[in-house]
Amino acid sequence: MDLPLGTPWAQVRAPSPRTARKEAGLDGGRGSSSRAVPGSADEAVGMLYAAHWHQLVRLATLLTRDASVAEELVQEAFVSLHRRWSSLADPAAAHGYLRTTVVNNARSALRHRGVEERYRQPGPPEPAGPEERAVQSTEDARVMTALRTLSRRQQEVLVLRYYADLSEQDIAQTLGLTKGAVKSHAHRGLAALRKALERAEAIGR
Amino acid sequence: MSRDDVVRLDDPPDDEPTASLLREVLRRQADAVQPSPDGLRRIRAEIAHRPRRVLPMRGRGHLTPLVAAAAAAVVVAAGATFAVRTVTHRVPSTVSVTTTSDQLVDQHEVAEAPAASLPVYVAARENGEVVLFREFRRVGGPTGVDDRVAQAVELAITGTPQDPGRAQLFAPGPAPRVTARVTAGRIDLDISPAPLARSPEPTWEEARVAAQQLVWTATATAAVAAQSAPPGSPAVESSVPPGGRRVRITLGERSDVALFGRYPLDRDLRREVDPSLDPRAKAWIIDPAENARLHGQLDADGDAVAIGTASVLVRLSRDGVVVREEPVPLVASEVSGGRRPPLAGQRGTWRIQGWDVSRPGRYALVVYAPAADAPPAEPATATLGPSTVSGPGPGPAPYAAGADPADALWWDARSFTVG
Repeated sequence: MDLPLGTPWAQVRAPSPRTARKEAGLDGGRGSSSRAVPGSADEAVGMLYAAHWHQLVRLATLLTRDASVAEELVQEAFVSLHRRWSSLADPAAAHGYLRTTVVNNARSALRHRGVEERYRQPGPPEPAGPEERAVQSTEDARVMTALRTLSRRQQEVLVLRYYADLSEQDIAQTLGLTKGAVKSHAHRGLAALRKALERAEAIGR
Repeated sequence: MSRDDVVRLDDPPDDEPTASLLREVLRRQADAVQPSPDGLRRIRAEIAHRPRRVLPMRGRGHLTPLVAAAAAAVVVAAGATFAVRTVTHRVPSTVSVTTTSDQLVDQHEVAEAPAASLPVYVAARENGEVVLFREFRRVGGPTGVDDRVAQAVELAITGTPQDPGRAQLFAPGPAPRVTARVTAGRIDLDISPAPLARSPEPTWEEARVAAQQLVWTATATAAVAAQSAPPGSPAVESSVPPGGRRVRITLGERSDVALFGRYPLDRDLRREVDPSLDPRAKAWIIDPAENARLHGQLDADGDAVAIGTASVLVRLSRDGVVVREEPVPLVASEVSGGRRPPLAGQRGTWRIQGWDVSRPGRYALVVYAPAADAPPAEPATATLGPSTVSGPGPGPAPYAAGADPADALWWDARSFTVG
């Protein structure tokens, strides 16, 4: 079940100690600013932006495959956070709120994608360059294409786990799932990814 | 046993080859993304550009418990999809027609439009999304259907919304020349020159909603204006319900263009009524009009999306003091053609009658759905809503009166004067 776009604070609990530690290390250590508790909504947005803007945009890009849309989604999340700042019970949960909102916004954007898809411009060209880059790019495209064959939920779980490096508990909180469901999506998603890669390899031979 | 205990799948080890490969690829893909450096400037501009809609009153301080299920049900409303079904609509003073749920006629557009008034859709921000509200505008001048549609579309592009909390998506400037031609199943609109967006960097979604604003305005106005059109007019002789007309928009007589440079217009457009695409606000008041003068009794009506419970909260205040508030059932599902209450995610209508407004003062009427993060209800204190929502609807409303509309999921408000 999807969470509403503006996930209520009540549903966003403070990140686990593991996540808190990781947050401090995100974006080259700038995440440490998130540990301070800002006073005003404006101040909070500034601090959270400095700590998490890059990582959230990258997360949204992995989920939506569109960097410009991703920036808009993250921007929306910050605006939403600003609007709700006064009702925030636990400022330490702000990053969790942003992350949850970004994931939900990405899911909402993908719902619209079906309408927009046929008008979408082709994505940026594959980077040209040395052979190694070319090989890497091919491999990346193969994996990303295979990833897109998974269910939306499996993609979210895998991206949150293997890119954002979240614990199962934090993924569960972000997606509004149980830990068991996260474990299941991760396990089955990875198995499905493996099969998709094997199929792609067989076809490519 | 908790749900966590049910699934006992082995945790995929991070050094499993596929997991390692995925981790590397995701990192490379993420590293290739270079977020723009001016994000904070744009966020702050958006915050400044998007002031919170101002409620006529803010009754904080007496939050009453609500049932958490209502919050969870919002998700159902947001994510629900409907099978297209065949339903019958009665178009006032014309014919009963059969259509599909994506060609729905908003019966109020025709039945409740004030005399010599045209329905014009205007935009607003609601929970971070751009949504459309309907307003009625009094107009004069030519009375032909084509002229009325052109007038209404021009108002949608250039007019100032009646509610100051609503926004104009189109840039201010000289009014464009709008021409309209209404036929049995289609409306052709030309707007010259191409209108610009108010936002310097309009999003695709803003452009989409702006296009829908024109579509809903044109189709609604055509429906209203056709009521007084002479027999034999192509706008009247239609087997297509008014809301079902397709709309073809050209900008400067060109169709190979995109509204705001984002939303392509190279095809016929139609009203989007799929829950994930429907641009309409989730709740609104149709009557009374803003700044109306009333005496004695208040009759009001509007429509709203059921969020799992077929009801909304309606609050009446006088000079800032709440004088009456209660859950009001939603009936007459749009999808069912009015034959049964709306299910979660479906739109229905609400109505109150005979509320006392005999004392002079400045009144405010708010219809809203409580916020999802309102505290759960305590059964002993919750005021349950109507207990007799008939038909296959979702059952009694769990809303308790007294939530703060400022924290509502969605709401609409009207101010009016007595005395």
